[in-house]
Amino acid sequence: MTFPPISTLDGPLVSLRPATPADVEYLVRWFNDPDVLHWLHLSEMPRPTLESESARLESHLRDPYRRSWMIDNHQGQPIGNVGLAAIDDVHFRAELYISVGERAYWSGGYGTDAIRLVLRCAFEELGLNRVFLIADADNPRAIRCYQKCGFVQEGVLRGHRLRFGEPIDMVMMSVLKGDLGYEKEAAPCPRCEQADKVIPIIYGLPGEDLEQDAKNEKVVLAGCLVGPTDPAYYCKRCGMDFGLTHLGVA
Amino acid sequence: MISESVLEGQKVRLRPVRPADLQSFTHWLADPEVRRWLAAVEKPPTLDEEIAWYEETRANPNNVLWAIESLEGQLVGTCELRMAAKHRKAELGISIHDKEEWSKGYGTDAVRLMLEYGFEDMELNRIELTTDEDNARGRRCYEKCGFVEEGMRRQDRFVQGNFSNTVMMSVLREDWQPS
Repeated sequence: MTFPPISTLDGPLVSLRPATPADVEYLVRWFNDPDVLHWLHLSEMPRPTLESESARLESHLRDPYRRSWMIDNHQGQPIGNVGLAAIDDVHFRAELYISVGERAYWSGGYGTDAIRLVLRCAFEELGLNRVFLIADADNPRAIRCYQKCGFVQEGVLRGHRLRFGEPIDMVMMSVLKGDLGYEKEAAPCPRCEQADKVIPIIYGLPGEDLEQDAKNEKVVLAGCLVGPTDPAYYCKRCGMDFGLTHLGVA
Repeated sequence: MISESVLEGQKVRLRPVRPADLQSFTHWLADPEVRRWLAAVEKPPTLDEEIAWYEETRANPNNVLWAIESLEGQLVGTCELRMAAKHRKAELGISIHDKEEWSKGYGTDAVRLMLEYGFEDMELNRIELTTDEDNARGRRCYEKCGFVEEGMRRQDRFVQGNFSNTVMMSVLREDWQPS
């Protein structure tokens, strides 16, 4: 199988563009920031230099089973990098990695926006079925972001990497094409103010997959007729529906 | 690399793989039942592919490979540790290729020898593996050796038209008890 060439992707907060060798100066600066390095496997490598990062980046750009993007804000300023690795056309899966190197852009939804763009590319453009990642178990900011994008936790890998010499646990997460929800953010419930029990309400004639999802309480099926005042979400904790369909659709 | 260490257990000996073993591997791996749980061997390998695999493994310093033989010297399979030294861990792989020799405890003995080697000689902190959810015999063997289930990768592999789940297991140095 050959994949389509890597393209530029635009979201509400960021644009993703194919990384080039010239981007190495950003990577070197970010990966020398101890607060960034803290969360990366690179913590166990000698400090990145222009030479070492150029070699790494160029080998990534040559790898046909990888896609490497730079994350730009809407002023065109690079704020991080994101990509798919180990793209597997036998098992239809790939590993996602991301790093927002500009700390001023942490917790602003920029990473979430970038990941949603990559997921859409993975499932729709590349035809993959599974996107997985591993994250430091003590990084709730990252884990919450992945959950918002539809990732679910599959396990905890004990002592899976070292951080500056000390073993730490990592969580394994994945999102499947059939999981739904990767394309739009689950809104928080207005009553309990949490999104973890919120599932989408789906209108229209359901197929077998959706019926299965409804049985597993991943979606609510609400029939074929939908008007602008019909709710878009349902909170399983509060038994409450909310949101408007015409706003809920991405 | 081809390990030069010979490890002797209760039932098996782990010894360096020799080029002369490859003919037997090719013969055994032609059987779909033998390949059933081997994620890395999806098609029957030719002898040339086995030779290429042997050369590749020999050249890779992070991949420690042994042949498994009975204490009487009969070849039954292979096993390996794929080292990630920077994170003081390794991934374990094993196959008893000769299905006449299944369920005799050879695999369990070989896994225990590798754990001892990994934790004592290589001073690893973690030894991990993955296997198919449906590989009940393998999972039982790993549990006996001290592996703990850590999670399940959903729809991880696409085999013969169906997605299958993969179990993740590991033993930590702090949990490990030499037998």
